[in-house]
Amino acid sequence: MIKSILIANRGEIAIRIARTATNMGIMVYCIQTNREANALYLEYADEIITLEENPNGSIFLNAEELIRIAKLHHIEAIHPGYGFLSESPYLASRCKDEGILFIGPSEKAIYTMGNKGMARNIAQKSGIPVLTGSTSNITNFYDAKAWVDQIGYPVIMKAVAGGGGKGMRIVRKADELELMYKLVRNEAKSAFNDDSLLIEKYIENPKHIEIQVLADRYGNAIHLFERECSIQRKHQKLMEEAPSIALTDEMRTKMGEMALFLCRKINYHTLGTVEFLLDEDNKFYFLEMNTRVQVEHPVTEAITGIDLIEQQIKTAAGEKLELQQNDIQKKAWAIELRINAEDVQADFAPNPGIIDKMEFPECSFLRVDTGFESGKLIPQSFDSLITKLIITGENRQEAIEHAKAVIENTVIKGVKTTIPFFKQVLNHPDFINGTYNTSFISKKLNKPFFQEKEEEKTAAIMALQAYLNEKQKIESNLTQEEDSAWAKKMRIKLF
Amino acid sequence: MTLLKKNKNFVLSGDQCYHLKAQNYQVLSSRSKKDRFTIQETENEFIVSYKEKNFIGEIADLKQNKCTVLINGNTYRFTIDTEASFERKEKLQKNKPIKINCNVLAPMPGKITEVLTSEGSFIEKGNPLVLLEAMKMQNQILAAQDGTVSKILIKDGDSVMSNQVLIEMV
Repeated sequence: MIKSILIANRGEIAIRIARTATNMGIMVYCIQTNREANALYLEYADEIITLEENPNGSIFLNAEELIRIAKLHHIEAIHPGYGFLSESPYLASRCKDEGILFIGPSEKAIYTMGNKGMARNIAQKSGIPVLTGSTSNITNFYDAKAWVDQIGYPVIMKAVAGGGGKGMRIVRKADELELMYKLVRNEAKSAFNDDSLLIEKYIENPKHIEIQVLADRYGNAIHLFERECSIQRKHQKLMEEAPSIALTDEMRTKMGEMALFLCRKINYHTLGTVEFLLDEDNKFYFLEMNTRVQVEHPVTEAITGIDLIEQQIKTAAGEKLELQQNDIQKKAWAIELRINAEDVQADFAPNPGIIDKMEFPECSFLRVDTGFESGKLIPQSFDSLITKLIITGENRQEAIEHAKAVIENTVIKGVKTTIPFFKQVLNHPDFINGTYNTSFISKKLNKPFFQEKEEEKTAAIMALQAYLNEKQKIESNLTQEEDSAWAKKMRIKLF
Repeated sequence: MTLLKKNKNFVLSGDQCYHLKAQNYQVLSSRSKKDRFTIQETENEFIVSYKEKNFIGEIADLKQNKCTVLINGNTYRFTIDTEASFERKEKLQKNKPIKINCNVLAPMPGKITEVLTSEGSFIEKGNPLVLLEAMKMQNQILAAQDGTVSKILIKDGDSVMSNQVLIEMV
């Protein structure tokens, strides 16, 4: 087993990886950047490497620099987390060249699955249903237009190198195409450093279901059931649950098997996720494969009791998978709430700032994966996820009740967060009965945040009282001051 | 400077308008039983009991007669006027042709990825004007109303602060 690991990431995932690595007796190296010099994740490192941020881009996106650091400090492995270089075949291949263990699949698997066109071809060859779409990378607007003409509206445009929901837009009309093309291209460029795109037919109101897979280098592969991630806005997941209420055991087994066919086809090893769209007739289609740990992995851990990061490190390091399919049982129902620093009242606009106060209830059914604590600054230069709350229950109904209790007793001050949104969702009949899909936020929520009846009126009462307090302070100061002759005269006139 | 010791009626305009009375620097509860409320103050919070519920709120911002209150993670912004000045303002607005300042402001701090308009162009409400990158997302800044772009104050790649004027429109 490896003895040292460089975590090429920040925030809650850096802490998540550090925890497991420390438990496994692995020395943890984290990178300190001047954008976030006092970040919480640094407290979980055995060694901190301080770097000047290059103004042209984040260190977490600089493969050569990561390799240089790892070699300099004789670190055996690099864990990329999610986002950044987690799906960079270049980093994986450079690691291999330099004899550093990359915690992830092979360069080839990342490359193939990272190219959404190729991924779709292979999925199709593995027997998984796919949607019609472009078969080559689109790098200019004319190609984009030609493909859209062939596929027909509505379409979805995606960054070929994309992931995490970034760089994806739906286009329904010809006159939106050019602008949407620009938006996706810019996002792709800034988030993934690659602006080529892919266009696919868009299915309306799908559910997003994904299968967690785990495989070793020797052809052993298992799946750890599904997660449903249909609560999304701007194609970013906000809330996930496992298992999904939409699947029958038969469908669960079938999708699990399909995901494993794909893994075997590409000799996949370590942790991965095969994502599917489920349409209104319960037909499923291949969406993509993520060749890294996902933000929502804790819901799977919560229902199966398996530490996925530990399995990921072990299988990457060449250990044989000891778990068998029969060892994987669903023991609970779990829901994850992503606490993002966002202003839900302003269409989920990012709301960076300093967290004045952050408190969570202590209870057996809550796991908190946080990248921040009271007093920490949420920087503007990274994404808005600050904390994940993972809540379990014996069944779905209990998990929902527990989630409501957790939200009710969570306090975050200083920045606006997605909490009022979760209150709204957890009380919505479509969420409660499980019929929600990815258009839930845009179509079913009349407003995306929970508001008590008369909340605005009580706010008005408070605002006026605060105003009156301020006035009283000013005016008592005024009367104490020596009045000028003129002021005296005016005062007599007024009263 | 008006002294507020005496009875006074106020109008708080937020999403809706609320008419409230105050006396001796205290908000007065309604006389009718079903509309009655109590207000308590702690160091940095207000607790209002109203219709058998407790609302805990804090003042996020108070500048002159603009106040922002936070309750349950939601923010509420109000402009506070005496009833007399509120009516005066209403009257003025009615008589004057509306000319609202329609400068385009940055809704959040970030970096300009692309300016999508040019000086002199006529813009319809809802047209995208600027792409602003914040927290790795491209945000479209849309025109809040029809108008003509008179001046563009930023260029591609500029870093901007929240509420910075990006574009002047007439």
